[in-house]
Amino acid sequence: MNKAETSSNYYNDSPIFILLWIRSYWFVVTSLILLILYSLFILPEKGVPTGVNQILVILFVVLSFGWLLNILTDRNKSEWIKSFAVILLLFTSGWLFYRYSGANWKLLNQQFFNFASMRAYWHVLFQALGVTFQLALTTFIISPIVGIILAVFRSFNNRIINGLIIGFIDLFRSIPDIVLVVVVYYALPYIGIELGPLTAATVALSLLYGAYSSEVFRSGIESIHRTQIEASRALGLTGIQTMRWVILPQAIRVVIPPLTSLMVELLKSTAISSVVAVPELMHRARQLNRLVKSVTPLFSVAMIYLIVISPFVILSNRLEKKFGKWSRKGSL
Amino acid sequence: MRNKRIVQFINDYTLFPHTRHLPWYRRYEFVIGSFLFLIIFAIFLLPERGKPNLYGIIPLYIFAAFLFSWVANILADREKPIWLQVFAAGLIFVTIGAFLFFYSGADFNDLGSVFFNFEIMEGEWSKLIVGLGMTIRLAIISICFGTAIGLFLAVLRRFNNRILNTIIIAYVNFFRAMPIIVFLLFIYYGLPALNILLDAYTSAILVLSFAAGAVTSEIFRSGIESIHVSQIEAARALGLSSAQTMQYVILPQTFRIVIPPLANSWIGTLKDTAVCSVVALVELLKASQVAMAGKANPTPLIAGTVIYIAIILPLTRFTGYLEFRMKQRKQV
Repeated sequence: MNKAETSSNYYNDSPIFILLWIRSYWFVVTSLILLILYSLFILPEKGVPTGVNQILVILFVVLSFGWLLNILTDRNKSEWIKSFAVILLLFTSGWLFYRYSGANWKLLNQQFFNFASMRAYWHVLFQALGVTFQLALTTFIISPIVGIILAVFRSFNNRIINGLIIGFIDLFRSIPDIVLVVVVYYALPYIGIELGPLTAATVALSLLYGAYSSEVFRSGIESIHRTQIEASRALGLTGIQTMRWVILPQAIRVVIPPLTSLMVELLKSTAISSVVAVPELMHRARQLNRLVKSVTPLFSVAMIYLIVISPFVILSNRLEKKFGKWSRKGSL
Repeated sequence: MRNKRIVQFINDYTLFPHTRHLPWYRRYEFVIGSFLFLIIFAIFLLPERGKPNLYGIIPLYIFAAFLFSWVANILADREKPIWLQVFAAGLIFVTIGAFLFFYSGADFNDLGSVFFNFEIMEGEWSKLIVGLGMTIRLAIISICFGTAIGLFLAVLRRFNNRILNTIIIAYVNFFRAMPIIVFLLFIYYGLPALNILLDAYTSAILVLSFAAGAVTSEIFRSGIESIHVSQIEAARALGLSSAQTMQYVILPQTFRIVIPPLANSWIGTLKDTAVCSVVALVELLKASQVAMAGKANPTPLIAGTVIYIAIILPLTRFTGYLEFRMKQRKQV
């Protein structure tokens, strides 16, 4: 029994014959032609649509998406047709954005890709990238130390210490990072603790990520059952050998993937410190924006962030896939 | 030889004969002796009150390291009496408090009048409440949009079309690698350069929803993937269509699995709304910053932070409880 026979039988015998009729190629092609005619004759002029035109555009989007879903949900259609439909819809949405966002696309080159005006300022951005890295690296050295100390002290199971540590962690988990940076930089000087912008940002981010990473380390410590340590001691391994051959290989599996994604989050959070005038990428971008009178600096900095952070994202994805069983964490 | 004789002497005349069998670092002689050493250190080697200079910081660090190892030594020993462990645990927090009090250079006499000066908050509470309303509105709208986007993308990924999957993965990775503040500033200051005019509220909702959508889609995907293939096959064998399988078999189970990480990501979105203060959107942080600038006193900022904590802390605890219950159910 080949595929065509099955499907035709399926269509004819089914009680919901009418619903399955939309799967036929006749319907798919006809509706595609109708959609093209719609886009040629009914869709409004270029520019931001208003009133009835808005409804027409939304209707077009809904119809074409329905057309795509109709093809995607059909098992009997080949991958090629589905891919073609996806690409078609991608181009359609790009075309719709081009026509109806109301953008003046002639300004694109002058505003977004005006790298000639940036020529004198690239070194500023690179210095700023250095500051970003300095901030991220300092925080990434301090916060795991804080996290490990907290996690180790928590593993002693002393009730008072646990209460205080849980309080600390919960406190910093419930303050948005930007709020903490602002408080450390703007509020503490009133009682005489004056920190420079970079120090303030480092302190705030270290506290936050110390709290986060302590949770990560705790899960690493808790993931190893006591019996394993006892068993390896009973087998005659010394303390260090137990650590090296039994505990660490397992704990690292648990800890490394969330720690990498924490690193990604940390790199992203450094952009926050621009609000307290740390001379890092985002701050410089906003200054240059005013200087060169185009948004090229903003665009370049967004691209720099993307290029710098993407490898870490890919690394973190791979690690999560590799150790997937243990790292079922949506976000930290 | 000499060493052995000393040990013999101590063993003969010890006040704590019941600890004779223990290694030296767990014996009370060592604990008491090192505590006396710490006290002598604290009396003679710690710097003067006030902000220490560069050379004054070094003894502080050494003292902290000694103290931490002393406390860890006691807490790691399960045979020590509980009152000693509690004392050691308390000692750490007393020391940290004392260090902050003596060496941060802060004037804590003014703490009440500077940080908790509620007299000047007379007319400001209403402004903070308005800001809080904006924060909550932003959070709820972008959580709704973000969850819808995430669920939609996760379902689209089930179709296993290679091109569609590539597009969705690119979208997710883009938002994992792009700091929200950078993207928000890019949308808010960059797009008007192309004559696409968005107000702060719209661009904030746009950015937050897309960022939340990226996180949520990964959560839903992992939730859907965690359902075993055999269940889907069984459902198909029972004659359910793929849409029915999705509706009656996959999604109900997915929702149950997904709730804790989803709630986590919602809290993340709520925290991210604080970033919107950089585009002059008057939400809680911006409102308290404006009030702080108006009154030249940080009380409004502290009040804003406390409001953030008061909202997010219960939510975090509740999510922790959900995760805990989930884990318990899994073990059963």
